[in-house]
Amino acid sequence: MPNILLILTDQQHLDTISAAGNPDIKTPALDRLKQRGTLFTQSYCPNPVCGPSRASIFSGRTASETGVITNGKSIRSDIPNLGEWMSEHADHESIYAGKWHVPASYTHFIPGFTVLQTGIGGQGNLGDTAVSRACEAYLHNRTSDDAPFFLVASFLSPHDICEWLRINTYNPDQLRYPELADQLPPLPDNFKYDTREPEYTAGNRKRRDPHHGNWDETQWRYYIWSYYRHVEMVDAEIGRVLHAVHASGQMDDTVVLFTSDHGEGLGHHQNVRKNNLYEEALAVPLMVAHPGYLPEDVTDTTHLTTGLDIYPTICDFANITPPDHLRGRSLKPLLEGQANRWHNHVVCESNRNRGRMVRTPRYKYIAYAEDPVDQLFDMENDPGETKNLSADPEYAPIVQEHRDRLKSWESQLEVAPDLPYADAWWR
Amino acid sequence: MAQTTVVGYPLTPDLLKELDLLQGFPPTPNDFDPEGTWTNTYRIMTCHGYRESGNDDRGYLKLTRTPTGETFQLTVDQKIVNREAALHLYHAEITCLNTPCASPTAWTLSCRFVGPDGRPRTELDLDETGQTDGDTVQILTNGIERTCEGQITGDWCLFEAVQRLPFKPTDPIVFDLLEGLSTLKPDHRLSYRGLDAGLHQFYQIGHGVFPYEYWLDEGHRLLMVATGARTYILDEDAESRTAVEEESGKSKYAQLKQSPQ
Repeated sequence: MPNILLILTDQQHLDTISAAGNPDIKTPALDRLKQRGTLFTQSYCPNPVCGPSRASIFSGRTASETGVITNGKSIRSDIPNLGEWMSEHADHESIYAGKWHVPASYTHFIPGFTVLQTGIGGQGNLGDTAVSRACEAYLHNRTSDDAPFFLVASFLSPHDICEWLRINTYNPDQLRYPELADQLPPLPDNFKYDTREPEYTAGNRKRRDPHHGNWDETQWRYYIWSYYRHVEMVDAEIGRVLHAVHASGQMDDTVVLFTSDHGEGLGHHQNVRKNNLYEEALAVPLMVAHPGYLPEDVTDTTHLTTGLDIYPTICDFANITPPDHLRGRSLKPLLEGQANRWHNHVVCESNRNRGRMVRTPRYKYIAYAEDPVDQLFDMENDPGETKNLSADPEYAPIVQEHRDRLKSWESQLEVAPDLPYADAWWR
Repeated sequence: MAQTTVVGYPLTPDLLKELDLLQGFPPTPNDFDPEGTWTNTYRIMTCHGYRESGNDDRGYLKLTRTPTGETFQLTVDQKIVNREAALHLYHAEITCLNTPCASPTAWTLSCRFVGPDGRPRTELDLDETGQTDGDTVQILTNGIERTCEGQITGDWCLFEAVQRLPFKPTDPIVFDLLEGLSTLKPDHRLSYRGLDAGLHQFYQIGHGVFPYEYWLDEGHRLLMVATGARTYILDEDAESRTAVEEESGKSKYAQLKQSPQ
């Protein structure tokens, strides 16, 4: 029975692993993990906000089902979280360190888990070291007689970029460190965007720091440079935990899963932070490794995956039946090359139940309740989402197909009571 | 409801005074000798990004330097208060060379955790020893060895080193950072920037960290360090500054223990 290690970061953009091709960042720990397992590049968080996404990851249900449609809410009491389910049904000891955020950001009291260590809200630069050291100590101090572990190492960085944005809101006269001028990453290709957007998306951008701070190109690029340093910080903490698994002789007996709760704007569509339905906020890295048992050094660019897949995957590796009504699939058969069928679409929810995204292999459809502007992007020919096709009559059948898929998906959900926008067209 | 005006600019001594987070620095004794024996204690203050709220004393860092012939001993004590008063403690004894970046040659480090009930979490104890041999760094953690390569110094060592550097522009000091005497982050440079609001400033850029800025007075005493949202502020009362956060955390823990959410 393998041990299971789930590593979570917060607000990590998909394109932040150096071994996956980003030349402006160095992530040796994530690089080594990629070499030992599979990296999924078509992986989507369930919701582009911390609490709702984490509630979905740890329940296997959508935000509209858990009731956690915004930060500060608890998962519905009749839905068991992953720790509770594992504690009741698996042989594993369920251990947690770091950020929880359902509802408390950090707490010693997480149902189903023994908590090693909390952290510090808004300060991953300080609290993440306590998380990694606590995990390191736990792994080093185990004995061979101990039950297998299900350990969650939940880091806050690179979410600290939110503090950076508030501290560096206003455009300075010059670059604070002039020697960085030739080291700053370029602006993303989709910095300029199609302005035919839902009202919420446009309004969200205007409320953000670059708009208030009158940013120029240099400040944008300095922000991207700074974000990459935050990712490097958490990569080092991840490295400590992975080294502890390896050094304590448990790597060959441990399945490692890595993902993030949502992404980060990083200048795409001139966005910062999250809480929108573009790729920068939704697409996250997802890696699974079980050296000696699963294929290594694989990059899967084909299969659509979602954070909702984490719960059934962990149950599968723990050899237990998952609870009913999970909305994701176990990745284990896919990783073993034995999946006969897979997701033909994934859905993300957002903005206090107001927004929906449907992603199929070729297209991506975005809609907000009570907003006349929807979006359709051809992800094969326009992966940067720069041309909204939804108003083009040629694409009307494709828009309708995605709306039908969304309605079909929604019809199976057991939504929590008293949700806003509960009567949106897709319900 | 807390006010939410963004700070807007990087943290400097003047800005912290403007935000009423810094009243001033303790006077530097006339006989302060960066190459002699001294103790500096810093409050670790973190900024959430708003002027009015969320800026807290999260811990302290205490450094004591003791010359030992051609080397010196740097004693480190650090305490960080995590949520619900979960304490993370470090104690290190480091033998350093009198080089521009205070290169460590050997050290011991203990990492401890204390729960909100005041009980030491002995099951999470970590004890490390380290030594350097040229570019090779060997670290033993609870008896398990690992090595890495680099011309290293530690972040705590740099708090000492900057006090011995001349206040004039020179070629950058280059090194690899062994952060917390544990995590290797390569390709760092430390440079003198000049005077900023009457204080001498150095800055450090490298892989895996947000830039560090160091402010020193004319007596070469390190008064403040800022890296991103985190600051270290010289303060003789630093050790007592976390009491409020600790008590608040313990109270929250006790409340939740009685009625979990």
